[in-house]
Amino acid sequence: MSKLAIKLGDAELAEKLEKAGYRNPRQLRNATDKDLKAVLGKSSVDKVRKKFPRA
Amino acid sequence: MPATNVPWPTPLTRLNPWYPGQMGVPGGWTETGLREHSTGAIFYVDPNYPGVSDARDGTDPTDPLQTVAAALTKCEPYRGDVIAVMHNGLWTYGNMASANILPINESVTVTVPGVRIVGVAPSGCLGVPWTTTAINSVCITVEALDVLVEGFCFWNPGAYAGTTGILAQWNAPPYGENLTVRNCFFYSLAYGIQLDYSWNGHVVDNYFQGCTAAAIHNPSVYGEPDYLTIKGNVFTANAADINLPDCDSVLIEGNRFMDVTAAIVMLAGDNNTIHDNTVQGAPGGTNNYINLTGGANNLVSANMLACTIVQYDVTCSDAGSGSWVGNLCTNGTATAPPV
Repeated sequence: MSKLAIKLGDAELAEKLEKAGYRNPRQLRNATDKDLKAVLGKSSVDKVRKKFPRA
Repeated sequence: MPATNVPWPTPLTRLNPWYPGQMGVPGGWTETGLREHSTGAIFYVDPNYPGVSDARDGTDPTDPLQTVAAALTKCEPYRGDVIAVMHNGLWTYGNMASANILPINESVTVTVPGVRIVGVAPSGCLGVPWTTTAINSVCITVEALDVLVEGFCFWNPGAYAGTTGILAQWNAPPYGENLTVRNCFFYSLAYGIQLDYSWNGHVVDNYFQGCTAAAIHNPSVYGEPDYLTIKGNVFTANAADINLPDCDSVLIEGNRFMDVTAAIVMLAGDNNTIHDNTVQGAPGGTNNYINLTGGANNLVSANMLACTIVQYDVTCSDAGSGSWVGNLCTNGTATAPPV
């Protein structure tokens, strides 16, 4: 299981993010909601944002 | 004190007599001679040794290498290699005219996993002096798994700003994780140890003094260093001691925080345990003891705090996110989390 999967508690979500090039928490914090929504859809963005608020 | 607990680096396998010497490699024909594989090799580093050079095998203590960087080039992954660094006499209050005064003055990057770098300081309690090289320099950057650093006195003797003793970073690559740092002294640096998305680190029995930014810090270029164990360390006169925002599942136990400005700051961190530490300094200060604002499910237990119960509501912060159990103040035990 990847580090992002452990941090998010969701392997599927982490895999989508990693495929889109998000490798670490800093990149997720720096990403806009729009960026993440394009990869994940809105409901999953909320889950990511709960753990990694926008910087 | 840190370096007094450093054991002689093992393995001390001495004799593989059927290994031949190597032409043109000083030290290659001795009893400790070249090892080709199997058990770990010990590479000796002593910049004060007469005629020292990096053009050596390095496995013979009487033909040591000049630099740790050269020793690192000879290490192999998980062979059990040890870099044994001999003591030198440099210290800010010492005799600068004495013999063997040259410190380790390098910035090295460890990219070989499973290597141990050990300062051998049988007479010095602080460890083998290792000094910074420039502004923003880092003495040891760890970019490999399972590295151990032990027995050094990392310090900044010049006016260099922004220096760091040890930096471990993980982003696959680099792979700096599972790092152990023990029995070291960090003095007058900006940062003692920086951990960047580097998990499972052990920071044990070190002394941090006069760090101008933070003793243990998360630069967060990549992310948070979760799952750390920070035990038995002493912190004194640092601008901040443990500064690990957003970090989760960190154990901070049995440390001594003296003369604190910001002892433990773990804003928005979850599932951390802070147990059996002592914290002293400015009982009338604000958030200078333990600040866990924004976190969840933390446990803060059996710590001794040098402030009154009323002051505890100001020296510490948690906003109700954690369990604070049996923390002893100067006039009794606090019965609720700080407000």
